[in-house]
Amino acid sequence: MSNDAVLEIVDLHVQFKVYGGLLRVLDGVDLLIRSKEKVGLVGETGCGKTITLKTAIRVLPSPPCKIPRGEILFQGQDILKMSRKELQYFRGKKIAMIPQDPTASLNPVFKIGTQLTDAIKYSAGSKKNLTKKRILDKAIGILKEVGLPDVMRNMNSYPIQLSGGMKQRILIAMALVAELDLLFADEPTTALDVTIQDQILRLMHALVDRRQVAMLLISHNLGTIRESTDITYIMYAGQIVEVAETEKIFSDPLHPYTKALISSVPKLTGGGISPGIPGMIPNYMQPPRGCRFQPRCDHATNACMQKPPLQQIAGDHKVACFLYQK
Amino acid sequence: MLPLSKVTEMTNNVLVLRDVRKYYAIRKGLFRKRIGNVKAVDGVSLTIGEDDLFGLVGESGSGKSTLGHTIVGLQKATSGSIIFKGNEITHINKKDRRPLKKELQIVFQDPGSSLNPRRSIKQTLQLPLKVHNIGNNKHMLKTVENLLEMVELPLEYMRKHPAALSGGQKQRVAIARALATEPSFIVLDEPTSALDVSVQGKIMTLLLKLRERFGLSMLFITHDLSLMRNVASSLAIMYLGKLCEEAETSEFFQNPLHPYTQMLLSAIPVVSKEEEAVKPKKMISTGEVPSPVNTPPGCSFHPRCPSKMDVCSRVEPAIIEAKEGHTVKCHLFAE
Repeated sequence: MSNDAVLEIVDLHVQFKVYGGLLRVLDGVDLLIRSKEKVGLVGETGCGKTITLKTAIRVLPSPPCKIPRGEILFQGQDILKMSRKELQYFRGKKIAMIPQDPTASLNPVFKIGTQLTDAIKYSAGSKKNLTKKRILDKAIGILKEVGLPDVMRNMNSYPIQLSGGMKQRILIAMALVAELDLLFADEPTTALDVTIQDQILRLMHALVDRRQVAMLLISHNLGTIRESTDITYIMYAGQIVEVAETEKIFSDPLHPYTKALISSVPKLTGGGISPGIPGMIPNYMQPPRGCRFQPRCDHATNACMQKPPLQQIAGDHKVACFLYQK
Repeated sequence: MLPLSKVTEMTNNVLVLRDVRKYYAIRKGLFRKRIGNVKAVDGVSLTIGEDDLFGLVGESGSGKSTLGHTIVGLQKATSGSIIFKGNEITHINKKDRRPLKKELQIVFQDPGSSLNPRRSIKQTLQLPLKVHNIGNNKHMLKTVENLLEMVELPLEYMRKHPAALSGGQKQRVAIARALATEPSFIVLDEPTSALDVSVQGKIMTLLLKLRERFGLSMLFITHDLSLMRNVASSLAIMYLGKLCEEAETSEFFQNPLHPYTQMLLSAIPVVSKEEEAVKPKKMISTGEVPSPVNTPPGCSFHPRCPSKMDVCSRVEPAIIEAKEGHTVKCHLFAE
């Protein structure tokens, strides 16, 4: 394990036991986030992005969730082996998450100020040095930092009185009250308009840089990932198919799925609509053998019935495909 | 043929909107007195010709969906006129609207909630045929089969219910339902924004194919400018119930004029360097869309506009033809 790793996920398998059988969702996911690095995880709906993230902070109920194999090392400690109490030391204090839907993530019956000060009290851990004034000062400071207009009035509002962009700013503020080492952002801008998305992404960028926090950004929007991350992981049906520096992934994609995905995005330069990717995402009850993209892939051969290892091609560029096997 | 309630003009234009407004009253007190208006659509004029795919682009709350719903008659316009194939249809009565509905169809954004979960796909597709008395039972079955074939779904799907279908497949069913009465004009209200890009590609390919096959005119409501770049014949940008720029697609992207258009374009996250080159230079987007109840005086965009002038907060700009076929509503281009 490299020394500056903040989070390292090794060969993670996650399954769900449901009435109809066993859903084999994650199939050997490897992921590495170094300190101060912005990592993007891209994939289509239902490919396991959010499952990966939720497993990493252990918020999935078990049962139905089962983790037959894998390690999630946060600063060298295995999160999967921690007790509830040990987990509390990390969650909200060292790791925090910005959720996808700002409207569903704030409690509608409490004022913004109350919810934010609760987060501050929780992240502080002990009650020492916590006076009301200090908490309030901190809340005001952080809301100013995330660019919320009219802070005093908004602290006294209920979530329904605020716009989506403002709610997302508040959720960012709540995630950033602690001295974080790692920030998870689960599609933080999907519910927002482009101009607001642009503002929120710029804000997150600035805050993450200033506080030197590592970030894992999940999105299905390739453009967002390209403009805000250093390293990009491409995920398909619970498998990581390609990893590289973000610029490299977009200029020189290797895996057939990555190529198809990038060419599916309508381009601002024109050139018509791509026909998309034939077939659909597999059923996790009976996932395809070997490479899970193989039934939809133009280059599939018999070899693809085995799972291709994630192999290094050049530098940090890794791809899980037999086309590139040496 | 359509009942001719009032023939106002005869041209090749399929749909003409003249100063269409849709206000929702805000009422208060015992007598429900009208104390204000939500100006969802505030004076929109546009023309959609035959075989056009007209893109209507705007952020949430800009009134683009309300306009779409007003056109197909799901909402009644407060004022203005909607002219479909030369006939005034704004205040058409219920009896006359029915044959019109055959011609004018809509596909909604979220196929998960626009299909009735208790009806099988066959029942869903038969309903418009029954409503409009198209054919007998045997003929109906044949038509449903044809429709499924048209949207490239296997025939066994007839017996399935929406819950058994993926998002893309549901949207195909919704498109098939809209096509059941052989319309000549379809309003597409963000038909692909709930879908992944790879599925969006498939649905768009299908829509373009169907458009060619049946000579459909379309109004495509969306927030995705990159998508419109590739499919629309012309497009308009809507902001707070008003159109602020309208042009043919190639002209529009070569020469975006309105500051709001430029802000939208520069905020789009793109996936290649070539695309970055065609974006207008980075414009920092500020502020949020104001409430349509208290729209700012003058130009409604002026509080967010980087090239704001004195006049902008006082006088509402007129629609100016900056180039032939390229109109913009901004003081910057006034003579």
